[in-house]
Amino acid sequence: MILRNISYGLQEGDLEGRCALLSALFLSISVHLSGFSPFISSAVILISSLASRGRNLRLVAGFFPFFALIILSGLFFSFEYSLISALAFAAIISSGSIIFSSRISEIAGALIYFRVPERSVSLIQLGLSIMPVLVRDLQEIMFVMDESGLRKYEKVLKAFISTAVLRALSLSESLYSKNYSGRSVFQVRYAEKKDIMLLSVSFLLFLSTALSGLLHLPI
Amino acid sequence: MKHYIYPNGFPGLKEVRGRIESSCFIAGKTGSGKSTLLRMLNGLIPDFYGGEFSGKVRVFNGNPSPKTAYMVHQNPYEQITCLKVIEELVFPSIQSGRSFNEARKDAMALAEEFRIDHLLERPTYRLSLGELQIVQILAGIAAGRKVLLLDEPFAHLSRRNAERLIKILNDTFCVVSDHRIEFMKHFLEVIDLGIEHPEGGSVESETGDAVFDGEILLRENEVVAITGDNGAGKTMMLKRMAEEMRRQKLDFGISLQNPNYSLTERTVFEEIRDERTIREFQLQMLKERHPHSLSYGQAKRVSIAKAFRHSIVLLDEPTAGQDVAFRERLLNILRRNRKTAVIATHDENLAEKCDRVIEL
Repeated sequence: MILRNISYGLQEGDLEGRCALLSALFLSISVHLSGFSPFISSAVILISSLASRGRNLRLVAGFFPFFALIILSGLFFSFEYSLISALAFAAIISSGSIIFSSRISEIAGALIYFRVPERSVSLIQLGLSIMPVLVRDLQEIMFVMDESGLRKYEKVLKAFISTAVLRALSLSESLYSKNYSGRSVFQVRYAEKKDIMLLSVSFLLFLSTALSGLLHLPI
Repeated sequence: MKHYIYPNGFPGLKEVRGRIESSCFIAGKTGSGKSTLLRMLNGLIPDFYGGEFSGKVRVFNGNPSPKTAYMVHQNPYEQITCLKVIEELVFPSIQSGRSFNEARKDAMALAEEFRIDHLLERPTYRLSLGELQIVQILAGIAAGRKVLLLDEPFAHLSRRNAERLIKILNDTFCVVSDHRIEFMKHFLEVIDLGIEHPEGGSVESETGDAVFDGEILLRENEVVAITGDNGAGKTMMLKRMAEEMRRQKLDFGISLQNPNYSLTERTVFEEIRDERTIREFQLQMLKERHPHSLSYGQAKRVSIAKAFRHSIVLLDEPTAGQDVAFRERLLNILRRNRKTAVIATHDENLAEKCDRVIEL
């Protein structure tokens, strides 16, 4: 269930790359600037849900074990603190999901547009492209294992780490064969109305958080 | 070349002399050095792998290089570099300096010719192994290098797609290594690194009572083949059966297309834990090796042997990466051990020898 949610959350969407990248940045910075304010975190989750068509909620559900850990460790301080931290974590994941709501080639196009060196963009792109493949590997390994209990998870971990290492080696071999020269597969297209809307709302949230921080206004 | 020894000390090839002047087919049994030879033609050996190499290899009067020779590896899942099929197709062309739009135009035309244009917007990691194999080969053709090196290109393809591929390959200079020697006749030159011939003789067995009633009805000692075109849903059907068997608490073992998913121990012996099965699968020489240090074909054989611990065996493309003799040996081993098996395969020779064939 967890893996299925992560796999769904990492599917590409139709947002324009530059707007998606900037919006994700504005939203995650807003959460940090607000000092993990529950209001801002909730607003970020809401905006991300609308923009990513609920993809962020599936990703949040996929990261359930981390939430449990955050809530448990937060309880050492106070119940309120643990809830606020969990909400902020959900907001950060939600803003990240906006990047996956665009095409990776458009995110690459956005980075190149913002003058990030193409070789670095290409490496980021390879990293992002391999993530769903690794999630799929983990799903298949879980499926194949016929053990039960803790022993199953020990075996799954072993097989997953070996598969990931082998995948890294074969990817480098494949890049050699494809004569990899650091060039990136990127596209840039005009933003649509919904992309501009998302960018505007994200920027407004960022601006209001920054201003309230400067003017010491409570959020 | 005189000899090559891999960095881990395993011998690769010894005393190979020859000249390839037109499209060529390399035949040989598992572990005979077919992939090693291909890797020498694009410089992967020794430039990337290292190891001990002596002798000389020249490709178009120059040193072997990926700029001259494009290699498509055995396992297409290990070559994914992009999320979308269309991006995967243009990736190698873009590395040669072409623009995205220019490369996309050519890739789309090629996809249309191979009738996979419906896959262009699909995520690469959601394709079946056969579909991805086609995508990786077309990416190689689109890259437009002087030589195309294909390591077991037919291993995951249905006959229809394999024939379609051969037609497209007619216009390119390619060196192909494969176990499906029935396609050898389509190539002008053949390099024989030791073809293993079918063993002959078959073990008969009688089917018993029904042991599973779900997606299909399965009888004791019955060997059923599921066949169909690439992407027809053979693997999906096998997985649904496994889920149902798990619910019914039946004793079954499954070997998926990627053998590494089920290998978790330190040695081949620890994986299989049975001397007799090791002998039957001819894995004695590899007994002390780490399962992840094996070639694709060898690891596949270990993963199948591991599934033999159970009375029902589900096998996904078990003959991929295996020599001709293994096809018959597998059926004989299944029958000798009185196993009930479901085999998802596009290998017609294997399917026709099974007790029953279900075509999707």
